[in-house]
Parts: sequence; structure tokens; C-alpha cells
Amino acid sequence: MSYNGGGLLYSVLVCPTCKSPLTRRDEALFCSKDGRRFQIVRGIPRFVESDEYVRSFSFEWNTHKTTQLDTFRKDGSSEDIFSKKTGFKPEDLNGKLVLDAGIGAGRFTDVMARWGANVIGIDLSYAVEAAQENFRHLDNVLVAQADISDLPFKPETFDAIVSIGVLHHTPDTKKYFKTLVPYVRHGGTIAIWVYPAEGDFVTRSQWIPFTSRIPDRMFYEWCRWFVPYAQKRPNSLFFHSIYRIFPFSNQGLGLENDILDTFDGYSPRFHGIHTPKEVEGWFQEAGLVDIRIPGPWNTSMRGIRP
Amino acid sequence: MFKSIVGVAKKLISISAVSAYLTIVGCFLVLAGRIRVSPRGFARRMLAGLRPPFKGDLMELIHERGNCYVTPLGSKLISDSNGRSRLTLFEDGQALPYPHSSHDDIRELGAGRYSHWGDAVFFSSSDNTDPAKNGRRYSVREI
Repeated sequence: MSYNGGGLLYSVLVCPTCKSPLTRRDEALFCSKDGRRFQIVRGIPRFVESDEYVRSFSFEWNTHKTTQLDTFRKDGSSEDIFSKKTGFKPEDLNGKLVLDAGIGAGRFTDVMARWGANVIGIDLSYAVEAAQENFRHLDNVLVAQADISDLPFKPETFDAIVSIGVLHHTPDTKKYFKTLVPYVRHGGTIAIWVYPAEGDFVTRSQWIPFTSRIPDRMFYEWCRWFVPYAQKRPNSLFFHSIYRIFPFSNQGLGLENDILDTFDGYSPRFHGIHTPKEVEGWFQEAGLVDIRIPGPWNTSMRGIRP
Repeated sequence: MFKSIVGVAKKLISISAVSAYLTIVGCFLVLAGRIRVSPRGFARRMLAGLRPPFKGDLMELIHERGNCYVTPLGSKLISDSNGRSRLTLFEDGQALPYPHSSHDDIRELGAGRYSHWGDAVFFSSSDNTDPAKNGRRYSVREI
């Protein structure tokens, strides 16, 4: 099947409830069975009415629209991470239909689009606004606002599904992972990465019930002040001690990335942490085969739907 | 002018309020034992100031995963697992750029990221070549 821009959108999207085809009239999509209406706002089909529990992501990705995108950074840092977390090479995805479940601002969609994949990126949050702005000029990328638990696609639609750093922000990582699996075609691959139950991720999980209650703008202002202030004092014993209790980002990908990553690490409502064994168990329970960790990240895993 | 002063004041109040809140939460998490801070680690930190700085070459370089190599130090120093390491890692005398990196970042991104964890150093070479075979000298020094 060949795809292009709107053609891809309308051939793939269906009613999330009854899986009937959708027809477009003006700025809305209508279910051909029960007439249910889904608005298209600023070029983005909307299958949800709010950003529910992911409000912090709406804020962060619309504040840092391009911080992590290779196209704007002029480097290959995200491509490198994507390859190692999924095990995909450009030839694996070229011409394939891929779902980016939790597109955010489009860090990894940017990589896959460059590799020639036809990507549908969905997100529950208003990060879709940022993604749409980044990809509106591309024919092989489509962005929709939708919930992983209620996707507007027919089963067995995608050649590959990737979800990197997303599922642990849902109320139930395992359940949401298993929801994704039926949407991969037989012989297709699903690749995910979730937070590991080790190191800083464990410490952060203790903070989350408290830090996620701070209004986003206030906490972000604080990160904008704190991260550069702490990074300017690399030998301070005080900040060394603070880091032990409150690990903040220092990834070597620039200050803006570290501010974003610190905010990202403490602001979401859900912050699941998982062991590699646990993740492997989900893949086995979902009936996937050829399950493996493709790179150096212990909780990145991929499997094929037989 | 007045507006910008009000803006700065609002920002200061906001940052102070969040700092105060995080301080209270941090104290609670430590006192409740939900974030573990070892008293022994604290004592080691205090004593570290009294002894001469540690230095030495890394000899036994073992591949861990990805770009990450690990080498035992054979000396009990304050590391990032019980405080904040003061160790700097040098490659042919040049300090590598990213101390205190997460182990996943070392494995994944490499490029000179390293971490002093427990009694070992987890590190990557500056160009992600195998440090056991690239012919360079790796040394550490407490700074």
C-alpha cells in the first residue's frame, strides 16, 4: 500500500469505538456507522476531549517544541538513542507504516520520517500541537490526539509500533502495552522502552506524588532557575548532597535539554518503574516472539507478533 | 518598568515557594526512609576532607554493556552511590567531559560519560572505542 499525506490519514483512521470507517466533512470526521463526530482542530484529528492525566506533557512539549529534535539540534543524538532503544535501522522502516504511540513533540518521529517511514503519531496530551507544527510540511507524518487505550485504528494496521518513554506515564504500564499489541500486523514488530527500577528512577518515583502537584508553570520556572545554578557549581558539596536526594539531569545534551529533562522527570502524574524481567514477561504474555533487548538499555525491548 | 519589577518579584516568590516545598518534602522523604541516605556515607564524606586525594591508573578494564566499561578501584572512596564522587577520570591526561552520568547514558551515549559508583568506575572512552585496546591511558584523581 502506498501512502501520502491526507490519504494515509483517511485510509487508516477509523472510529475508536466501532472501528467503522470515517468520512471527512469540513473540519470533522464522522463515523459511517453511528455518525459520531470527531473534530479536526488546527489540522489535527481529535479523538479525546481533554489531556486528562498528562497535562504536564502538554506544557513541556509546547514549551520545548524542538529541543530534542535532531533536525533542529543539527546532530544525531535522538537517532542514536532511537536505534539503540528499538534496534531499528533505516532500511527496516523505510516505506513502512509505523505508529509512534506517545509522539510528544516528535523526537523519534523526526528520526523515522527521515528514514522514509510513514508515521502516525498519537498523543493524549496537547503535545500534538507541537508535533503538528514540526511535521505539518511532511507528507509521511500524520499527527492525531488519541488515547492508547482507545485507538482510532483497526487491529493489525501497523508494520511497527514504537513507544519510547511513554507507557510508564499511563495508569497501568502493562495494561496499556498489551492494548497496543493487536494493532501490529502479524510479522510486525513492537518496540518499547520504559523506566527501569534502578538508580535515579527509583528516587524520582518517591518524589512524584509530591512534585506532580506543583503547578506546571511554577515548577518549570523553578527548574529553569535551579538546573543552571546547580550545573555551574559542579564541585559544590552542597549540590552533591542535593543530587543524592533530588537527582537532576546532566545528560551532556545542552542546558535546555537538562531543564526539560528535569521537569519531565518530576512533573508527570504517573511514573512507573519496571525490571527487565517484568517487561519480558509482558511480551511473553502478549504472545510475541523473538523477544530481545536491542541495545544497552535494560528495559528497552522488542518483539515480533507471530 | 513597574511591570517588570512585579514580574521579577512574582518569579522570586514562585521559586522560593517551590524551593521551600521541595525542602520540606525532601526532609520528609529522607526522615521517613523513603530515600536512603546512609549515616556511614555521611561519616565517610566528613573524613574524606582529612585524607590526601586519591589518584591512580585504571588497570583492569571490563566491558559491561554498550559503550560502558567497568573497572574496580580497590579503594573505599565516596562515590555517587553513597554521596557525590570527587573523582575525575582522565584519558591520556585529558579530563573526560561528563562525570556523574547515569549508567544508561554511559551505555547508550558513551562519549566520555562516566560514573564512580560503589567501589568501581563505570565509564566510556571519548570516542566510544574499547579502552582496553585503544592504547590510551586512563587514570583517576580526586579533585
